[in-house]
Amino acid sequence: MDKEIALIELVKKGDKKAYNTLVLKYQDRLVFSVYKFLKDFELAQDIAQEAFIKAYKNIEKFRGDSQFYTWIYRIAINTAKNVISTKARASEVYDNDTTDQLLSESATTSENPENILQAEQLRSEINKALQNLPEDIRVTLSLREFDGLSYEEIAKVLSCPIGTVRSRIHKGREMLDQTFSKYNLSNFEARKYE
Amino acid sequence: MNETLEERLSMLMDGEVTPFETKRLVDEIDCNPHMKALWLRMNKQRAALKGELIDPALDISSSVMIHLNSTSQTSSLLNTKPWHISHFFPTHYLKACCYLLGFFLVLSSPLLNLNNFSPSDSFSKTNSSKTFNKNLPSPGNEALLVDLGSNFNGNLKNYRMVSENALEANYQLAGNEAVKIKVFFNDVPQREKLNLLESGITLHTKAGNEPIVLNVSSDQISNSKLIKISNTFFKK
Repeated sequence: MDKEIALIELVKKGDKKAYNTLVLKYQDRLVFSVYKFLKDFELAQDIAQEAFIKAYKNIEKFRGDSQFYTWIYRIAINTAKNVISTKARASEVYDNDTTDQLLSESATTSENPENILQAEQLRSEINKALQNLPEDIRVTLSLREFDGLSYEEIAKVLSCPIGTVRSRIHKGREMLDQTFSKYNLSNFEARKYE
Repeated sequence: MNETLEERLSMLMDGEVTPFETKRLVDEIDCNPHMKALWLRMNKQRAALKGELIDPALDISSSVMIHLNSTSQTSSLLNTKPWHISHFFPTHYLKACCYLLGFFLVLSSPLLNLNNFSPSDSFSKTNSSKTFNKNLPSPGNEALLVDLGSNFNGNLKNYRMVSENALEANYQLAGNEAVKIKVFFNDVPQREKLNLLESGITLHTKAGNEPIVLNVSSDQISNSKLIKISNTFFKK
């Protein structure tokens, strides 16, 4: 059962704000997944954008028996495959293995934008900050983020009230946000233009 | 239930809020910039923790929403009952008018020098000098783009359509400075404009060929650079 079901139901009723909330939530993950597939950052962004648009137009078909992310991931990867096939047709190479060939070609011609390096730095800082969190907070947050346990399950594992789980997770995120804020997203944007 | 709004946002990330609460938080994210920024950061933080953060400044949500809004506007327009001229004039009367008009055009073409008109000429020149990605703009927009290119002394590097009525253009200015500009062909809601300002400069244009600079402001670009950019526009 998808935990996003309340958001999805709002989207099905035509609430675009709810869809924007979903886009903001999954955009980084989806672009990353497509980038892993294509090794082309600009194209990965375009395909993720296309996938979000297609998903919105077909939201009625989403039944909620899988995760929303799994569903949109499939849409994005199929879109990426179509782009590759179109490229193959355009280059008039009629080999059976053309798609695979182009995929491996794009994998070797990685663009590697400057921001990818900054993201790497940020990832390492965040993980360091996670290690420095007080133990109870770190364990609770890790059970949520890395093991995917629900609040109720975490409360059972740690033998503590569900309210404590809630506040520890929030506290942990707040503390990590301080690290994140040091890196100030607007700084990354500004560097692009300097 | 004495959690703060921020704590409830954290719960929304984990799908631990009721449908009613979800609706409230969605509205909050939409209308409260602080909450929207926090929601964006929280999700980037999660992506960073899981090694899935590829670009901290990435935000495609505005482009997605602009596209969805423009599509729904178009489809709602298409859904309206079409107005048809034949409701007002009989068909045989309209046919007669068309024949007369055609006859007049044939007779007057030497006077109006219509033979020299070739719409494809101007566009082929433009196409050969620039790299186009996809979704070529309509002829009116194309002319506008050429105009923008000449305003920057021909330093337009490339551009792409980000939605039906907006494009993103990259310029390389003197001194090797790169500038990204978003151009809107039609009116967009003020809120969208402000969202897009976060990632560069917003240039708002009228329908037609004359660009009008409404906003040359940005949180991310220094004032001196903004002045330089606006001067470049008005040099012409």
